Amino acid sequence: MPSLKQELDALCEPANIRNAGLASSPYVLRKVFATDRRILRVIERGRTALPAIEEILSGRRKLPEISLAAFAFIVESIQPSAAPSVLGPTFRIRLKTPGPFFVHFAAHALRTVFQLPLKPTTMVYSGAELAETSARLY
Amino acid sequence: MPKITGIKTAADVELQEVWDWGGTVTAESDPSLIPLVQRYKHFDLSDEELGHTSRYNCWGFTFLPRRYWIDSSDDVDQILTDNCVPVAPGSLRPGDVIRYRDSSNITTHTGRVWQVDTSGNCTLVRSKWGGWAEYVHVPLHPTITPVYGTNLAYFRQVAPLKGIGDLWIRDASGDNGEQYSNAAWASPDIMVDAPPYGSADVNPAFSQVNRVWAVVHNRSNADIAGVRVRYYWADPHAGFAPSNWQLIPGTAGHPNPTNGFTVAANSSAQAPFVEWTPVPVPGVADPAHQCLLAIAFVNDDPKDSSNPNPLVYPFEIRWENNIAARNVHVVTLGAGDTAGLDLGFGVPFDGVQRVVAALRLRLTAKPRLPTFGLPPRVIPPTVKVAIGDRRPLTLNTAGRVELFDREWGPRVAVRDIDFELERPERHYLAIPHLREKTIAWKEIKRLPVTAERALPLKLSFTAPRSAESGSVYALQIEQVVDDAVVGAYTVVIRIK
Repeated sequence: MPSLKQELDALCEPANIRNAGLASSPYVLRKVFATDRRILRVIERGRTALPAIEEILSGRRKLPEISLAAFAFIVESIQPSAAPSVLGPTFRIRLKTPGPFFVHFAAHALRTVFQLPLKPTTMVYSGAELAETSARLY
Repeated sequence: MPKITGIKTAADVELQEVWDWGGTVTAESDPSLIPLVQRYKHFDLSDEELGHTSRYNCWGFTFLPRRYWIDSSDDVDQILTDNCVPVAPGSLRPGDVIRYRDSSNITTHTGRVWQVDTSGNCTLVRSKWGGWAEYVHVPLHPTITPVYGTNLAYFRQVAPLKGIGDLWIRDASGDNGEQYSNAAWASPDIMVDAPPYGSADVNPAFSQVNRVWAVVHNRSNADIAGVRVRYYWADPHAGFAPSNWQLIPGTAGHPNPTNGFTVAANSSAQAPFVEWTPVPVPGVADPAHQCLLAIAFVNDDPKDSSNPNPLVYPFEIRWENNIAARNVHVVTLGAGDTAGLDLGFGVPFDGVQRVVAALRLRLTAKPRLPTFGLPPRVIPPTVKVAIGDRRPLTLNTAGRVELFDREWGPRVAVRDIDFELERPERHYLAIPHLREKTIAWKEIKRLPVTAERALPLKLSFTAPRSAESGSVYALQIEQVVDDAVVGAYTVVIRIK
């Protein structure tokens, strides 16, 4: 069985997430993540995965959108309350140059913690909603 | 990576999640999908693979010709509500929109119907799979159904989006600018003016300088600057491959492609003309018309997201509204006169050496209202067709033909020969109804055609001595491969 590090390293390459490239929207990508075996295995490891994810996100490596979104999904699935500390810094940075997926996955996790309205059927948050989420981080 | 604003549906609802992510194109890596990948054919006939890219997704492909990525299904549902109408399976046409939803009834994917069967059901779809490539695939392809779901619905786009450029040239008089045209060879927007100059003529004059130009429409609410038009000619054929089209040589004052011009929002503009000197096709007594093609474009870079009007299907007349062809020849006959016309019947695909095609001929009578008294009689010309070395055959007309359909209540109209999977039209008029009538039709099957040499098609038309002056007939010549019409030519026969 692969180690946690091996699993997370694999997730840094989107091609290792089966069918992730098919996603046209965060909603579809979330469906893909929810059935991906590797992601489910990481989630099963529980809170032990969170420090490792935080370390990857705070590293210098420039990660693809899909990988970032996968980590946000894992954090939200394991322990949403960890989202501000694990995802918050990256979320704030990525808000300046958002991509199609990560900011929405991170916002979804953060808004769950902040008890703000969620959009589970689109997983897409407007600019105002992203700003509202970011403001709660301070 | 800016967010794109200002694109609105027909009901003036602005799309909220349109993005320009940039993004490069990379080749398909899955061997099983390589045969499904589509290519972009440039004007110089070079091919570019439409591989993996995050520049546009399925929704951007379906509604914003490859320019941007639409991130939210809410925007897509809004477009489907405001700009499209639902279409039931059994009534589908190429170009219709296919929508995928999952078991939660959330829109997950869209594409365009690429091919339908004779029952009007979708058999092939062209779509972009997320950040992957653009493929032509069966609707329920096993790779996508676990992700996109199996809840399919179909729509027909009836209105353009606002705030995004869209140039177009009519493929036929009834063209509305949407994707895919049934009649793709009779553009009323491609004009010819033979000497003496001053007004459009029905046919070019051979061995003289003709002026050729096109009317280009802009159906967006923004001006489009830097528009140019490329004009091509081809020998008279029923069907064409991209390499059959020859660029009309430019002259000092009239380059081809034209110099740039602007087409104002929601209006039309006459493109600059080019000077064209066609030469008669050897051995043809009555010189044949040559076919013309016009392409309106801003540039030829499918990756340029600042292009307000990217081409999607270069050289695809039916699919691309920027492209139109005119394969129409007008023959004027006096009573008792005979005229001839030679066409070619070739392989309409580049890179294909041999096809087995069918030829469909349909002679129609154009309706005319009587000026006084009885309606005009239908006394059609005799049409003879010789293919290659085969013995000429005559297109036999039906018995007495009435141009009036007397319809006194709702009923399904008698259906003409089904050339283009047209649905039967329902008329509710309580008055006599005038329409073009098919008066003779023939299909010649299993014609082997090779790339080396076009199969010659000799036509002759003879007007009976009793022909009615002023009557007009049209001979539609269609080339069919695998039940799909791949090209056509129209000969209009006027009785003087």
